[in-house]
Amino acid sequence: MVQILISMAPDVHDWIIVELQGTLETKEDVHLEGKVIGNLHFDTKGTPMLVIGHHLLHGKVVDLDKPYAVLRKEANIYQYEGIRKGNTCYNICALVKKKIIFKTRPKPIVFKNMPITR
Amino acid sequence: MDDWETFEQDDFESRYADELEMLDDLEEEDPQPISKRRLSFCNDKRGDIGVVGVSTGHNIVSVKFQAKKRDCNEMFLPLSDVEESGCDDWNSDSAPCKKRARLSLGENGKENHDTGHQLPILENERSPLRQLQSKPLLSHDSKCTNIEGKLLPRWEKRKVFRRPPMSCEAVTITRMDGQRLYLSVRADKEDETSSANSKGMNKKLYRGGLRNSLQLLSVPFSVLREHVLEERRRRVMEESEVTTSLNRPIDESGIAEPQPLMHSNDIEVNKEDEKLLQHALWVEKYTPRYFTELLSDDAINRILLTWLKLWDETVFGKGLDKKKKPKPEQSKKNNLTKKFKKHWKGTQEEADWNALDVTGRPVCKVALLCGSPGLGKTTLAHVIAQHAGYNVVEMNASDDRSPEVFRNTLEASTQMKSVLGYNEKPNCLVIDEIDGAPAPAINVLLSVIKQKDSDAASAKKTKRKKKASPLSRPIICICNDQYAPALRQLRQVAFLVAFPPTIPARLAARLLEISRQESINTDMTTLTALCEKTDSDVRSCLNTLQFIHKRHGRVWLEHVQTVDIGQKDSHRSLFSVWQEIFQLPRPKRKRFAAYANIENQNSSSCTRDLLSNDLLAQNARNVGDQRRLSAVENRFHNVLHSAMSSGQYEKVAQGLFENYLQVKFKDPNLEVVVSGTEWLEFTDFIDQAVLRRQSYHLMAYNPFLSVAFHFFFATAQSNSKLSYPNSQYEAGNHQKETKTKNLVQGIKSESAPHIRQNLNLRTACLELLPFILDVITPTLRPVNTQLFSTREKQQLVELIDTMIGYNLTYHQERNFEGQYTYVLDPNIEEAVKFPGLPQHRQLTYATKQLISREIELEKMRRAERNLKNNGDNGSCPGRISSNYKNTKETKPNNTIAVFDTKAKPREVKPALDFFGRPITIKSQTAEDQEKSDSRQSKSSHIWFRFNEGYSNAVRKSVKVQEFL
Amino acid sequence: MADQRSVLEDVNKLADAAGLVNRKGLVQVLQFSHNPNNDECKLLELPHRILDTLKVGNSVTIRGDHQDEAVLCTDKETYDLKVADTSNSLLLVPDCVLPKDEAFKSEVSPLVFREVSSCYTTYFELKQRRPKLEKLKFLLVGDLYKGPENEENTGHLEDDSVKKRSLHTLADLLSKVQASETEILEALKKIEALEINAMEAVSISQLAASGGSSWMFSGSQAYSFSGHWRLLDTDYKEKVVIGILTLLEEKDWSYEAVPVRECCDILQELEPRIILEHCLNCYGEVTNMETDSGDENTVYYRLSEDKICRFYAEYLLRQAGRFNYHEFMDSWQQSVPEGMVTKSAHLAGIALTDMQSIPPVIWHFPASDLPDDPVPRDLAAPGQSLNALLMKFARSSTDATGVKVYNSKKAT
Repeated sequence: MVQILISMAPDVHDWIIVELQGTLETKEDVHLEGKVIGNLHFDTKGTPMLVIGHHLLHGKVVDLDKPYAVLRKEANIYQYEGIRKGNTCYNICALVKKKIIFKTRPKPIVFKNMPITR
Repeated sequence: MDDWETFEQDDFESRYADELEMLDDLEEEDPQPISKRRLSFCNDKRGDIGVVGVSTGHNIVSVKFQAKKRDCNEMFLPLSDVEESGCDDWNSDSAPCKKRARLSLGENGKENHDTGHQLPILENERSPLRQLQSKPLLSHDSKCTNIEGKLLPRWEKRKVFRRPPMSCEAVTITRMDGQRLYLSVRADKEDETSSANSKGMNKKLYRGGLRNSLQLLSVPFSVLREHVLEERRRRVMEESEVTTSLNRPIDESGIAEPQPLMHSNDIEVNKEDEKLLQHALWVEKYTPRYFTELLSDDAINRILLTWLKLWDETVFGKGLDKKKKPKPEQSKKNNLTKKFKKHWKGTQEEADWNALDVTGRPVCKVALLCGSPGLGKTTLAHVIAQHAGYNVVEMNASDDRSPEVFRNTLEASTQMKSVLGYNEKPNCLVIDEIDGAPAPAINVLLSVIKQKDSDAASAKKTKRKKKASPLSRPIICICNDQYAPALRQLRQVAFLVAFPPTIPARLAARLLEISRQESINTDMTTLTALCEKTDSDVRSCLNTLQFIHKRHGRVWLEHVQTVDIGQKDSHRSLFSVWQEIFQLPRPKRKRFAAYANIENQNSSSCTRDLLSNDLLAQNARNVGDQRRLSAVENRFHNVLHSAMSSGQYEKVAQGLFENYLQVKFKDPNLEVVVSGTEWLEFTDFIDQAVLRRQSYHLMAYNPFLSVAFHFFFATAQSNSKLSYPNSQYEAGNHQKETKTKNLVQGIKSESAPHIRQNLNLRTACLELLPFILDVITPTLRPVNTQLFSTREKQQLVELIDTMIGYNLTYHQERNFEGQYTYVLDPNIEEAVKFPGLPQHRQLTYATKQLISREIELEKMRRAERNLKNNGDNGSCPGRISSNYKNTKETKPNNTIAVFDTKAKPREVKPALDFFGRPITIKSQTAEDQEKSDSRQSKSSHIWFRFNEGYSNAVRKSVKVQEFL
Repeated sequence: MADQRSVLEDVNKLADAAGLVNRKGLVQVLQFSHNPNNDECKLLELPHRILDTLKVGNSVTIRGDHQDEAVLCTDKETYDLKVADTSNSLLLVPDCVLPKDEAFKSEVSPLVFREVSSCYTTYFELKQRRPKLEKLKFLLVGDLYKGPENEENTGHLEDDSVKKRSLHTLADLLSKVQASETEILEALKKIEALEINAMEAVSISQLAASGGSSWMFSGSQAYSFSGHWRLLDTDYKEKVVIGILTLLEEKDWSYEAVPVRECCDILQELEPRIILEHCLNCYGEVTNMETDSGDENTVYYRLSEDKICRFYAEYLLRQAGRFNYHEFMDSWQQSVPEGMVTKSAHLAGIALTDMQSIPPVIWHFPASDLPDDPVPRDLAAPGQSLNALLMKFARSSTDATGVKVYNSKKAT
């Protein structure tokens, strides 16, 4: 029997989502904090390009039909005699109205010192 | 029976007309004594063997051998000499005197009756045993007037009088033909006990009761009950006196071995039994009571016993000295099985039924005894169950037809135990005539067997093996026809015991023994004939024997042959009919030489006119042997009878046609065969006439085909290899023919032109294909083709060439077991598989695979060559050629090309990415990057894996909790 | 900065190698956040209507028991809250800029690092749904209002007894019932619940007996002035309504113009005024008809013929088992106030008839007692057509007489 309130500040940020058709993978024992994922370039037409490892992905910027709200829990929860008390509530800290989506098959990056077949 | 009754009736009525009238009047005036009790009486049909108490037989005898005109009184008179005690009453009573006071509870009536029935026994005086036995009985009976169900001999209970009995109450009934009969009235209790034995009788009792609209008991039930109890007490007292005074009864039956007698009670029972036996049907009287007496095959007996013993662990919980016993038992079983394997071979393997399952019960929970009637199946089941220490509960599946009843009985008998009475043994259920049970009932049985199996499995998991043990009692089912459709499923789970026919010699010997005990004047020949006549049906033999004996006092061959009983009108399977037609009756083998004469005559001279009985007789007379004549006649009639009883003339005829050439008859000049085919033709004519013109009267001639064939082709050996007629079917549908035609056509149309031109159906089937099969199965070593010698390579090339020439190849198929095989396509093997020819050698799977592939390659190669030749004409570059380019350029020498292609090592296929470019770069890129940039190399810890598709279709509901 | 330059070089080299020729402007290097515990964020896909609600400063609420399936309510609507799984990876990059953005153009450095705050493969999705009101009636039925005499305890005693009773304020209901406030209030109105506080729950006479108005202010602090939502006990309600109707007859008022104040003034001796008003509200509505008295302030109620007829029908039927249909129709007509005409149409939803039996019978069978599923009209979510709903769970067929029949897809 709870009511969890979700509210939004009037001056909310706009964030961006980068959507990849696929998954990012890593070795199991590697910590991810601060690890570089890839480089995001734009070309003259504004087409986004993402280089991940030795893959190149071409994407596009899309307006979201329904924006995403980024909910951050703003709990004023305290322990009182071992019982959770207080109300949980959520604050919308940002809205995501645009995303950069990469859904084409990645192209392998070939370096100059290697002969390119073709 | 009716004869003498009416006869006597006339006489009787004329004599006692006056008294009858008076009696009638009396009854009208004073209906009081007529009460609505159940009556006990002998109706006019009591002569039926099998239903009745022994009294019947005695009645017959008494009437036959005593002067027929004697009335009851006279009949009874001589008895008073023998019978001292308790007879005074009836002597005076017996005069028809209405004023005679009613005596208490029919006591006199009974005596009256009893003594009446002693007559035959007296007449039988020459058997000292008999007399000895009868004495105690008489004295005993005369003293005890009443009536406790178990101990009371049955024949005491029925009474019909032709005039009003003075000694007791009577009820008058008028028969349909106007004859009046008087039934003595007896208390209810008595009849209830008797009713259990004779249902049919009971029905009549009720009817009689209704017709006379009787009232309720004239004596209160409680009083009756007291009487009964008192009588019982008295009786027990007396009997104990009697037994102590008596010597141990002589074991006169010879069949029953001296029984170990424990206490006086047992002795009494035995004695009673023996008395009963004296008057019982011989079938019952001489029923084996011990394992050693069983007439059926020893192997069968022991196998069944072994099976039953498998239950011991479950039922008696003894475990049967598990550690010690198995070995000897096992070896014994092995011996047994070796010795008698033929009897149950093909039913189940030893391991199957011999093993115990996890719950310690036999794998087969049910034994199924099957065999034709009268082989002693039921007896065997009873004897063995008793032998193994069970209390036999019998149910007759064709009587208790409803599944509910079936289930109830099943559960009652397998789960409960009799707690009343001294018989505290576990039950063994014997289900008789299970082939008569309807399918639902069988399913009940099956479900009990199976469902409890699974229970057992689960019970075992919980480690409560003993407690939860399901179906813990053996069930023995008995059937005549193990192939009855209803039993199909049961057969799979049951332990099948097929009964072979009783060996006639053995049966005859037993009959002789019985005859000796019954002092029948007979001989072995007669008995053998009897056995033969009844198809070794023990029951039928004994009944016939008893019947003849009663009628003629002696049993000779002529009796056996003339008497019109003993043969069953059983429905016979087609196979048994064919069997009978093609097989000479066994015992005649000895005299075969003599018959051969007749048969030769028959076979040569009679074709259609054989049908006439006269002719047969004439033939036989020519030989001049009356007896043999009858034997031939017998054969004639037997075969005719069985052909007619089967009813399916057409099928019989087809079967004869199918099989007659397989029979090993002696016919050097093929005359018989000619006659036989003429007969078949004749039958065809008749069939045609019947079917076309509905001249069904002609069908009467059909069964004679069987007779004719019997006389033509019957041999002494059994023809076990009779096959079901299917040539008719095949020929009728032209199936095989069409198939073969198509097949050859297929070969023809697709083979090379130079072959095609010389190929026609006949030559292909007869001259080409059988041999081509040999041609295309060369000996190829099962090694890599590269290791082939030049000669072998050459051989292979030629083989391929030949096969392509005839458009043959192997193609892969999956057979029923799911295995892959290579089959010739088209499958000429099928077309030319002529019976009698040796099986063609088969190539191995690998070889066929090799050949198949080489054929394909060679075909491609040829196609390409054609293309090349026609290349200038601008024919389209087909797929074959383009594909083929990849392999190799064709060389003039095919062989080498073949092997080169094969020899070419399978290259490691360069990894191609989606666009067909080799993806060798990837790893190198990484290395390169690593070299070039240390920082960037860090990022290579994370890489991207692309998903082919995209989905966000999955929606899961989420609990409020998760937001807290 | 030097470090950044070398990074830029590497990045450019890599980009060249990749054949990215037309690069322009800022390069953003995406890297995982250094503070991975930032995972308190959830992605919620917002329909525009909710977004608008939020924009004007209203908040939305997730309601229900811990084990309930989560729903999100605005003040007017109810939404299912579901998790959507996606096979794509959603990288949330807070500071990422696009070429169109000012920040993109204004960025001085050619290369910036952007933190990916988290990587999602799920997000929450909202879908408008029918309010889950089943619980509402269930809650209210727990403590029916059976008349002032049964209410004495409510206000007097200290918190204990009040707590023991299962009384619900609107706030209680809002936290328990998974529906928006508007929907709850509508539903409350539909089931004819009323909000009573302890003062009103008793009649004037009782008030006087218990010491006048003094206790009102001396009452315990714990007592909340907000009322409890209650359902009237059917028998009690019948009693009140019959009372009103009797008064009508007594005073010879037309049912089309019932002077509310006068009516309540007379009857409040017996029943709490609020109850009387509630009942009048349930069975009638304000009418602005001209009356002879000319008193502008007099509010007149017009009782609904429809509702009163239904009331009587239920009143009659509730007491009997099966009723001879014709007898029922007769006595029904006789029992309603003068001028009202009963129609069998009034019986819709409250009774079943069996015209086949002899004699034809009728019996009480309120549709509200039926299980929840069969009345599809009520079930369709807003915006979802009835047809769509039917097609989801049923297949239609036309039978021989041309009637369209829906069959369950489930083989039951």
